Amino acid sequence: MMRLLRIELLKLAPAKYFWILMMMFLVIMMAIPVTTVFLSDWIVDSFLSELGVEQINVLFDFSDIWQNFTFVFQYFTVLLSSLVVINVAQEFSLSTARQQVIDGLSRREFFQGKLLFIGTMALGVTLVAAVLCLVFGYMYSSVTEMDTVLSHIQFIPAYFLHLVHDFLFAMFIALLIRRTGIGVVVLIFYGWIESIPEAVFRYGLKWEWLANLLPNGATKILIGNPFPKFILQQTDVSVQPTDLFISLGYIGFWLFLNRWLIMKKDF
Amino acid sequence: MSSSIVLETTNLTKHYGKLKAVSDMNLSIKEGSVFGILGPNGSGKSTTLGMALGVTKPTSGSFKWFGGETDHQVRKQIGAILERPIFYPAFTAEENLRITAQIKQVDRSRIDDVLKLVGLYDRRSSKFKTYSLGMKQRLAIGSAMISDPKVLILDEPTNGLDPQGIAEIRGIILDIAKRGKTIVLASHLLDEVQKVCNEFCVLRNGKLIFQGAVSETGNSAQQEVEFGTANGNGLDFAKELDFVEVIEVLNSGAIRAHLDSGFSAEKLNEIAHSKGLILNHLVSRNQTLEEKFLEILKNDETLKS
Repeated sequence: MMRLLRIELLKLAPAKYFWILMMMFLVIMMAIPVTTVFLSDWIVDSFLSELGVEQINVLFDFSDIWQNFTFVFQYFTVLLSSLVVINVAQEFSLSTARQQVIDGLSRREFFQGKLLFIGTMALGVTLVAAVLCLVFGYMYSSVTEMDTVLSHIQFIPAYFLHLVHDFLFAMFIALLIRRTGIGVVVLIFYGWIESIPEAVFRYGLKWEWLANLLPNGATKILIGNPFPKFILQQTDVSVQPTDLFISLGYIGFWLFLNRWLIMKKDF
Repeated sequence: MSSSIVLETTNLTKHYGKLKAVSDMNLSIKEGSVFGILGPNGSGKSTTLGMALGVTKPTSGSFKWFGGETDHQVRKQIGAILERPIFYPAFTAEENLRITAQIKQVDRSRIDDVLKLVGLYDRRSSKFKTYSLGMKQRLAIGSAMISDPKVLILDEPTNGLDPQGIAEIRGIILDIAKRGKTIVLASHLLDEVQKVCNEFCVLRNGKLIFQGAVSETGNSAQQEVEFGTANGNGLDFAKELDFVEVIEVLNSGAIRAHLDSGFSAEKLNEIAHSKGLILNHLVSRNQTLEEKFLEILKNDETLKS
């Protein structure tokens, strides 16, 4: 297993696209809480200080912070999904996957290597997200008792599942299209195109369940939008078991399809 | 020399829909041989090798490496390049070979060894995309040699190269052959197979139509020579000799001729010398493989009709 991971790292370390997309993502990730701090300070200074309000950083409050930030981070996953598409599709457009099989890598090992890469990246990004939430939470949250801090930490593993799902979906597109440029375009367009039937199901026909069953929808339902509660609407403040079930189902589905595409098609 | 079989295919077949890329291929390649797979483009050379190397799924049939193995572990002991050199273009030679070394589970010190073997050590830190075609081919051969394999499979290794590049690649191949490695060389160039191989087979439209030794084809037919004389009339001289059949006189004044079997360029030179004629140019060409090849193709044609 370490050998397969090492092979993947040797393929990534000198790759420019990897560092560019990864850095972009990490910068955005850190910029989100920092911007929020500045923005809320500015709002307090300009409008609310006269009313005697000192602070409004409820966004950083434990335990809401887990949901607030993972929900926002989700919108930037496409950067990393593009990275996965480039990484996997390139192996076929350059025929390097073919050469690696000739050199003695089995198709199964190739598949496992890509899974390790996806899993490691998802784990790393999840850890960064968790650390950011903890650091900013301890700096700005009004509550810092351990029980409260940890009470909604379930959104962190949910974020991990979201990443794994999206990366597997990206891998599926890459295996199907086998071209980096078109692959990334399809990945991005798919997100937009899916939102059409999603909107029809969700708001037109009121078939919420069907909307949630679409792949992109399925990955986002894990972490429900926390913000309506600030205008006093009801929101899910925990991960729903049915959503978890759908998400895991999709992860299994993409795993199966990806494996099938690698094992059966000519390299 | 041991006569154990390196690769054996049994009724190996690949159909792409109606297109029969390879049909019922039965090949066997002996250890220590330099085996040429000869055939025009599209005759199924790469498809056959692709199946034996696990990248193309056979429609039917089977293959065995070293008498029984078929799985990926065995491929670590095989060095192979199919169709063209494949590397990450933006990575240096060294970065590329690190990946190969890790896949084949060999020590990193082998990277420098093979880079030196193919004369690319000084360019090891240059990106692959900056390499000339000849250098790319050499790097591919180096990469194939990284696990010190028992078998080296090369598919059209001199395709698209200039004469100097071709000479370099052939030099490397012959050098490797001398170390007792089995080499499989797929090519559409007769000349290449003749110069490098000791055994060969001919593929056509996905079928094996001949397999035999290169030397077997040598004795029966005539030899072709090209010679020029520094003094006297070469044409008159040639016409006097009854074992020489003049084909044409070239613009340079040189003469192209067939020699009857049993006579060699050496004999021609000897006679010329005894007559006081100095040859400034003498080339002997063994054209027999080409004749054999054409004959094989012709026989195949007549069988069909």
